[in-house]
Amino acid sequence: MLPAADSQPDSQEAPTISVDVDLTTLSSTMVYAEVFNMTMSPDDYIGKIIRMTGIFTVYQDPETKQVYCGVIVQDATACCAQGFDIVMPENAVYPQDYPPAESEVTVVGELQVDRSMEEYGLIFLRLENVTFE
Amino acid sequence: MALLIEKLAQYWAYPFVRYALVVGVLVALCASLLGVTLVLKRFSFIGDGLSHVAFGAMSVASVLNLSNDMPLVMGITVLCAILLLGAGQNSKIKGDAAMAMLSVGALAIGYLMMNVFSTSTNLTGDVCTTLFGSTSILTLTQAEVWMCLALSVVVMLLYLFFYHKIFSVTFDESFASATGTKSRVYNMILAVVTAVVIVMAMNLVGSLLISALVIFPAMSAMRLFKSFRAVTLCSAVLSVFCAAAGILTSILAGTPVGATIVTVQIALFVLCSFVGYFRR
Repeated sequence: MLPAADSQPDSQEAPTISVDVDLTTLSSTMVYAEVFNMTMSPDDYIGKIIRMTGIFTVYQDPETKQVYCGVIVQDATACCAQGFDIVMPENAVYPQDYPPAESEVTVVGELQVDRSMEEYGLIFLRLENVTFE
Repeated sequence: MALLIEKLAQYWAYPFVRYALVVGVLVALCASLLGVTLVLKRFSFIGDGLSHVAFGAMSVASVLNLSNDMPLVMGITVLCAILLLGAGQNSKIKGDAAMAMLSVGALAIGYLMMNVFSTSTNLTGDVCTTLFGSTSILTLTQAEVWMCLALSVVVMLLYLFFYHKIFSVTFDESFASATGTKSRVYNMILAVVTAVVIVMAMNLVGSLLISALVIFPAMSAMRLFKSFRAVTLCSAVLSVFCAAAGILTSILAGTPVGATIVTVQIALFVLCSFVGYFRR
């Protein structure tokens, strides 16, 4: 039996990530409202896999060289923004492995909370184990 | 069409969408009930004036770092409403001038205070959201929804119980006083209720667009009907429809909620004007 002419060798496919909250299917007004809701009630979303499209923002501290990045979404009038910090993979090197600043990105990651400043009344939400589509 | 319904069903699963629709419809209903009276008493721009006062009060609350600004905002707005409406026809500074002075004064002082004593990291965003209310209605907490629900019920009950007195004070305050109606009291009630509705409505359409909630349903209804009762009922129906349609359109199309509601109201006003014209 000859193999089918159009058969291809098995290719290794990346495992598909199961997304718990997919913000890419929502309108911009809904996305802003849902992200606001997530920042107000983070405990309902901690540990969930979030998929969202937004503006990639990045900042490098000129003294410590620490790079901070995040993804933000704006409301309909573009005067308010909400978003999350992004924890890039450890082997990512700035700027070559980072998306261009202010570019639109679709990111999938696990929502976690940084409680290091909680005594000052501040908690920061961030996406960990991120992949960019 | 099926795609649209599927999308709406998906959005309906979000609690903040349900909250927005409930509060939006109730606020629009209350605003429309008052709108007929305010338009007939030539106080159409009271919404604008009081919303600017509320903005000023919110600025003071923000500077004072109050965790809950509602008592201060409601208190100051009610006080100004009483000053504007409660005095009736015999005030020394007439309606439009008094309204203008309070309105621009509160707006200017509020914005000045926010700039000088700002505690916010996004002053422009806070001001813009308060003025235009782009997504405020979609970010309500459950407590805020319950409060709006309670206040709306109170407003509607007051209007229902005092309907005939409000009617007589609206059309001829002097005659109403002469026949024993306590016009001053009912003007006060109207003032307080107006202030409450305005503060609630700021979450829906923002400060700058509140007058639309008050004016457009009443004016649209007046194109179709002539009696006070029919205009009031029609105004309520039109207002609820516009609020619901505006909110749903904005979440589907990704447009600002307040501006979308007002656009729907304008379209309906044009339609009612045509219908009224051809019915003559």
